[in-house]
Amino acid sequence: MIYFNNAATSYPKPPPVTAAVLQNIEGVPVSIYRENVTGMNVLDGCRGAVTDLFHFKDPERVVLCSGATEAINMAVFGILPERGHVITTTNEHNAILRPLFHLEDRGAITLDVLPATSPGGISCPDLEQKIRDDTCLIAVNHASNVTGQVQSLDPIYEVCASHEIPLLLDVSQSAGSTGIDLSGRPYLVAAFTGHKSLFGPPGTGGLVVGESVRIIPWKFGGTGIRSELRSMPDLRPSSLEPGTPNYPGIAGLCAGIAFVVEQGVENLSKIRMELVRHLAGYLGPAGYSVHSVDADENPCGIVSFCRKGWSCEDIGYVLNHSYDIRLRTGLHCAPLIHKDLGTYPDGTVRVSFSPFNTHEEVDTLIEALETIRGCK
Amino acid sequence: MKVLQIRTVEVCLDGTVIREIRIDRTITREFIGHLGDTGLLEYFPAFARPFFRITRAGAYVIKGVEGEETFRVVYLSDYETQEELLRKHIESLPGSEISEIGP
Ligand SMILES: Cc1ncc(COP(=O)(O)O)c(C=O)c1O
Repeated sequence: MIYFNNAATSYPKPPPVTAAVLQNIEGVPVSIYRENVTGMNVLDGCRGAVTDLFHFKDPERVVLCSGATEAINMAVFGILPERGHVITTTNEHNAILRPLFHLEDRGAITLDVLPATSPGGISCPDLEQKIRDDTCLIAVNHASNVTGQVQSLDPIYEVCASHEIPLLLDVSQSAGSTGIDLSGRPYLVAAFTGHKSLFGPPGTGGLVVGESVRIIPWKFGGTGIRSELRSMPDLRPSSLEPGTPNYPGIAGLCAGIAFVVEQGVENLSKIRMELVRHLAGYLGPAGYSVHSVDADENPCGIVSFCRKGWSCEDIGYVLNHSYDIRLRTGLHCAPLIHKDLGTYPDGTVRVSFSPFNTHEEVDTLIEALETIRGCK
Repeated sequence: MKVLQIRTVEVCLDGTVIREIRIDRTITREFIGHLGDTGLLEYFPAFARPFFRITRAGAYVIKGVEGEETFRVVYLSDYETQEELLRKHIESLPGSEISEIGP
């Protein structure tokens, strides 16, 4: 089996990740009261790893949860007032689009959606122009899970900060694939997921909340502290983390981040970029239409393509079933970008690499694609 | 030939229903030929395991790979009636000759 679906979830995981999950499951729970946990505290360890990775100062502003979807919902429902205006882009995953569409349909927000796929990415003058007096959130996908395009954070953040508007940045694809510096950005809220390029288990992730952003709890329950209160305690990060945490998953995520830091984000993305270069070098000349960005701008290792005369679904079926190559076809939960790319509603065939993939595996894929090319 | 299980893979916005059918033996050329009697059969022998697609205009598209025990049907309309007809057809082997496409 060849696994090229790492933008969905990375496989395999580095051995220390599996070991950390196992060790956590097998170990005696240190304490049933979270505040009394002594010794190696899994939650604190993971918050520390996240702050190191993102060059962020305050571990208490790292909220751990089940992934980017939960983190984004936490931010959207916790930041937005009763009414307001939100700006987002066509690059977004449904994790951002659906909460915003839900609020728009309820009449709670008005929404502007900016195109984002042009070579330079989101146009900051266009973004600035859309800002209104009641704009209360700008939500942007840092790296597209369809094209691999990474948006430049600095200019987008500058626009948001100059208007004191929180920027919700979806770093699901970019975390672990490209260096992300969250320091000195008080208006930034970054939602990350653990199971892609951070190599953690599925069901892990979190939200890194800049100092100037206030998030009201949107989920309620036990926190292990101040149990006498009727409401959530006003303490970070407990106020946003009700319920029993996913300790084994968080232990695995911590080990995954440690692996990324040890190997170096740049070194890992270099491997992905070389694999992209190898595959893209074949696709274009062979008559496949490529919809992802060039290798040099593609640290996430995402290649999206189509072929005239073949549906993406059929290409995926042949590769999956006839060659045992795991990849994904369709809209990849990001419907709007396909309208920009002209690939709606069929979508694209998406190959997404991990640093554990090899050039021999790419050669096998190319062989299969060459056979498809030969079938008129 | 028996149909062992049918499960829904996806229901699309346009009303298309994608179902996966599991049969009681591996898919052979003979079986593909039999399925091909219901529509336009395209057979691609050049792949590591041959791929086939059968299009019954306005009703469904079947796709699968020789050697597997499951294949997919994309129902374009009225899937319950179409599926019942297809099930009866599957369970009444054998089929006919097929021609090849590919390099
Ligand atoms: C860009 C982007 N955002 C958000 C998500 C959602 O992540 P999760 O399902 O882990 O919550 C994904 C996952 O596919 C993604 O690619």
